[in-house]
Amino acid sequence: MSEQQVRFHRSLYAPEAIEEAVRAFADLATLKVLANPEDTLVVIEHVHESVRDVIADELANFALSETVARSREAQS
Amino acid sequence: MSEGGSAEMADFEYELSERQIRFVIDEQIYPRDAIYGATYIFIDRCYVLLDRAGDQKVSVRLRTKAASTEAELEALAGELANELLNQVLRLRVGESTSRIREYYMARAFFASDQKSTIDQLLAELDAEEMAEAPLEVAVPWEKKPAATADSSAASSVEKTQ
Repeated sequence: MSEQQVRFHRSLYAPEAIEEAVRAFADLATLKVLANPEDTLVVIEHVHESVRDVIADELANFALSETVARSREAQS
Repeated sequence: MSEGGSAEMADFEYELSERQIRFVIDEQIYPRDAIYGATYIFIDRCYVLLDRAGDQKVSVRLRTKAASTEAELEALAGELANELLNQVLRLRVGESTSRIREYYMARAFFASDQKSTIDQLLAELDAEEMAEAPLEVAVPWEKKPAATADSSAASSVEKTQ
């Protein structure tokens, strides 16, 4: 069983956005969130076969999208 | 330029590798919101990952969702560079016009003493109804002109005599 990791730097990704992304992908894999001082590491295991190749990248896109949305909301 | 190498396009450096391109962007030139705005546009075509490459430096990795040639990746780099400039311009215009927008919003919400559209229409209808009553039936007798009241009183006196 191979695990995948995605590292989100705290200065670039909102923690709430990462939480939202983890919730969104919870049905497709087992996701563990490890909060470090500078970044948040998401460890992805037990991935559904159909999304094995893309889940890490899709998670990153989702987290970025949520971060941008929150950033815009905060400004408006 | 071979794959896995780096290239420079008008002082905009990037690294190419299979299906992906990586940039390091200076936040002093392109603010973070501009980087967010520019990379967000590529989400439908690419997988985007941001990382901190140093103080005031943001690393952007774009990985195409479909197979792509080196020329396509270079074109992507150019698009991102253009979009970064576009976003910086939008931010600056937004900042320079923010006071004007605030003023218009405040005026629209708080400085209007006009009646609502429905109130205006009802008032117009009332005015029309009153104007179209030549006998002034709807006007109370107290409010009728004194001259009219005097003449009617005189005629009633004549009839009794």
